[in-house]
Amino acid sequence: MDIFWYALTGLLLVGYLTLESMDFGVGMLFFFGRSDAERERLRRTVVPLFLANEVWLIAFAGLLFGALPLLEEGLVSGLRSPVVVLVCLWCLRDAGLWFRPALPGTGWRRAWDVVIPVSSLLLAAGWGAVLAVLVRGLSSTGDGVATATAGDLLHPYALASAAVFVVASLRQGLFLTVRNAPGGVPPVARTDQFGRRLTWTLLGLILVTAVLGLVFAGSPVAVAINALLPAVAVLGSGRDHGAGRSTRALVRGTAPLIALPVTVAVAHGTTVLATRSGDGGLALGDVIADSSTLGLLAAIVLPVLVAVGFAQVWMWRVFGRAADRADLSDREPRPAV
Amino acid sequence: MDEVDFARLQFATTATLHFLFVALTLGLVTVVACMQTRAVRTRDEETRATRMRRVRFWGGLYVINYALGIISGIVQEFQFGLNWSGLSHVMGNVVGAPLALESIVAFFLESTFLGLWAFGFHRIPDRLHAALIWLVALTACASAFWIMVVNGFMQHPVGYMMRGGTAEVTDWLAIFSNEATWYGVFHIAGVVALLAGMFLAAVSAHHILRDNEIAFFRPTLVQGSVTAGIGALVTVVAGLVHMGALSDYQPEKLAVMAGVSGAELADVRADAAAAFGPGDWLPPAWLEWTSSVMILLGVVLLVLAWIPATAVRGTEVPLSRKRLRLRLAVVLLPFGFLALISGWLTREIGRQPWMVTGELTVQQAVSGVPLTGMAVSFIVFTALLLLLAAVDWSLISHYARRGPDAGLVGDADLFPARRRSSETEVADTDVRPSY
Ligand code: HDD
Ligand code: HEM
Ligand code: HEM
Repeated sequence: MDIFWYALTGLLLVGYLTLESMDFGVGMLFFFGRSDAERERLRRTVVPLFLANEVWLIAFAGLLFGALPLLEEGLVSGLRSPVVVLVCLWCLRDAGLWFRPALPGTGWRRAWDVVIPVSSLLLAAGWGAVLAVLVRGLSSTGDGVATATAGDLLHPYALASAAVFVVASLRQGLFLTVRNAPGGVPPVARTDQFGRRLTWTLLGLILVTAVLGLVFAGSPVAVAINALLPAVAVLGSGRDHGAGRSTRALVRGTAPLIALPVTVAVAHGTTVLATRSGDGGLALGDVIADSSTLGLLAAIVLPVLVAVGFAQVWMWRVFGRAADRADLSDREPRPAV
Repeated sequence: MDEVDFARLQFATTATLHFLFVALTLGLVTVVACMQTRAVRTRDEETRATRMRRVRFWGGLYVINYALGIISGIVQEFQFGLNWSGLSHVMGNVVGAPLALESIVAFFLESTFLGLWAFGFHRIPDRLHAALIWLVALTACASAFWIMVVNGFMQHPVGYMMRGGTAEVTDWLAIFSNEATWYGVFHIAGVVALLAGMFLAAVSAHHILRDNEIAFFRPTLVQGSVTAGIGALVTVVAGLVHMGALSDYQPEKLAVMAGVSGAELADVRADAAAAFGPGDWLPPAWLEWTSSVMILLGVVLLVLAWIPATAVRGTEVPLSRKRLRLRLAVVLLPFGFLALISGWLTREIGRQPWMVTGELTVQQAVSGVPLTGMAVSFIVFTALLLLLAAVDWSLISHYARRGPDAGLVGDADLFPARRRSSETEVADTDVRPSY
């Protein structure tokens, strides 16, 4: 039963990474938007969706606190600095997406046009690095507490994973825009060549990560396999994209983003917070909440998750392609004053 | 300042900002839901278009406000793990479940529904769209309720048992029916109505004073000040009942709030020492001030909040002759927020030095984070939140002042400007001046 709660919590994180990576990607596409109108169209591609995407992380943190309270404590205190930075970036990115069109001044928009892509890029990179640290195991302090040092976060394996996350997210952002609002893709990024280049860069980075995983990670084979499997999916999704099957390209393109959290579980099993030395690690049995808490959670959370599932599918239907195409491609955003 | 001070100050600023925004959110979303229900049920095309225009104006302000509710809520949620690990260590089993339920039952659904509502204006059938805003309102209330359950437990812990240094739940029913939760819920329900009503009245009065869109703002002025009056009544009654109940479960808090001194205070101090062991368990003395501000303002608002409604009664006297009553609506608004914050300070400071009354002190609950780490996160989060709150407030007041033709609705997709077929009149007046 403990495993069930651990898996459910993990599932929420995977949901977050899958969905929100597209928003990070659209944010990064701002770098390629040459005019105000191009960037505004990009913003509109994600703005109806991002709230419902990011809330998966809030649900993840909430369930973690409810079902695995001591793991939440261990994770957040072990990863304190990255957590503070990621939360701040998250707030800034949200503010950018909400506030960008709110005032007509050019300076105002320019400022958010920097905030949105930079915070999106750093968020994607940060998630890649943090998950890689969890795969490799944290350091332990002198008194046996798990902690992620700067060395852990800047380790080659962490940096390579960060790069995989950045490129994979950018690619997802491109596919989402192509699928939902083709008119919204900035001309620079509209070429076939751009998509192909992203695919090959991503494949190269995945290969590098697999090699680094073999060298540095605790359970090298599992880590390498988990790094290589997504390569196959990415190859397929590149082909889908070329053939205009944008939904399939999008679905397969999530593989590298899902692989990393799955690797955390595969590599460490029920050691839910692993350190390289073994000191300060946490086992699932020690972090789980008491049975009366889990009972209450089961009675309420499970049905609600089903309801949420339906609501989110409905949302994707409503803001899916057909409606947006009519709306976004033929209506020019009004020019700034 | 030591680590504990930083952690407390950070919690205080984040929670204060969060509460300032969500209290308005809770009321405004309900108001907008009522407006939209009314609009959807209207047969006459023209009246219906006017009513939907109201939904879009007030809904636009609500959406801007919502942005900061979310942003400050995110910081709030992560603070528990960052700064208050003692809470999850000792009380994780009790407070974990309600907070988990809040984030899944409330936010997960709420954010999805809000997205659908705010961007679904011309994509979702009318009635379904109106149902969505009700779902947003319900889930928002649910989130406030779960949080109040946790807060009530911290004020007055019930339904648990300590085993090996951690609390285990013995009775969820007792936790959910905790009196410390429910008095707060009723009081806050009143406050939320009071604030939303005052906001409605103040913005409407601002435009009527300038002879701008009188027909548009006249009904909301009345609705707003009547709601505020009723809200004030509920707030004051619930508050007085609550105060009586405090003598039961937090006599130390009540004594300091009421400003008792001398022998009487010494008695309370001795009783607390008898209950909790040696030590001084009284909250800081300045609690008296925050509670006096709240109660004084409560009485003032009860007397004044409904008056602006009388300004638009009858048509003989031109509205411009009733400036005093209209200005009153505008002047009162900040005092509502001041009372709100004083109220929370009273509740939270009054719990000191406890985190969970009688079980866990604030000192014990704080994480073992070094001073610099605590100071850095405090400065970063506070600076960021204050900046974003200032931006958000100026946007709210910008759009409130510009009136119905300039709302965020100017962004066709954030808040679509026109509905097809049924609202052609609106489409005409909806040509936005600037962008
Ligand atoms: C507009 C805001 C506002 C106004 C006008 C009032 N209050 Fe209040 N009060 C709050 C806003 C508030 C609050 C912020 O909503 C609190 C904090 C937590 C809570 O449950 O409600 C609160 C708490 C609170 C408490 C709880 C303390 C505790 O639980 O430890 C008491 C006893 C009162 N109030 C009493 C009153 C009385 C007697 C009032 C008027 C005569 C009054 N309040 C007006
Ligand atoms: C949203 C409105 C709230 C406001 C304005 C508020 C205000 C405050 C303030 C001013 C403090 C600092 C007290 C001190 O000087 O020590 C504080 C502390 C705290 N409050 Fe609240 N609070 C709010 C809601 C809550 C809720 C709902 C909870 C529980 C889930 C909570 C839990 C805490 C904790 C953990 C602390 C830190 C420990 C302490 O100082 O007592 N607060 N709050
Ligand atoms: C101290 C503990 C608290 C935590 C950890 C917390 C956490 C959060 C979070 C994470 C969000 C954003 C959720 C989203 O993305 O939709 C949020 C929003 C919200 N919170 Fe809080 N909150 C706290 C206190 C309160 C209090 C005291 C109230 C009201 C009495 C409240 C009412 C709400 C409401 C109504 C929303 C949704 C509407 C909005 O975002 O404006 N919360 N909260």
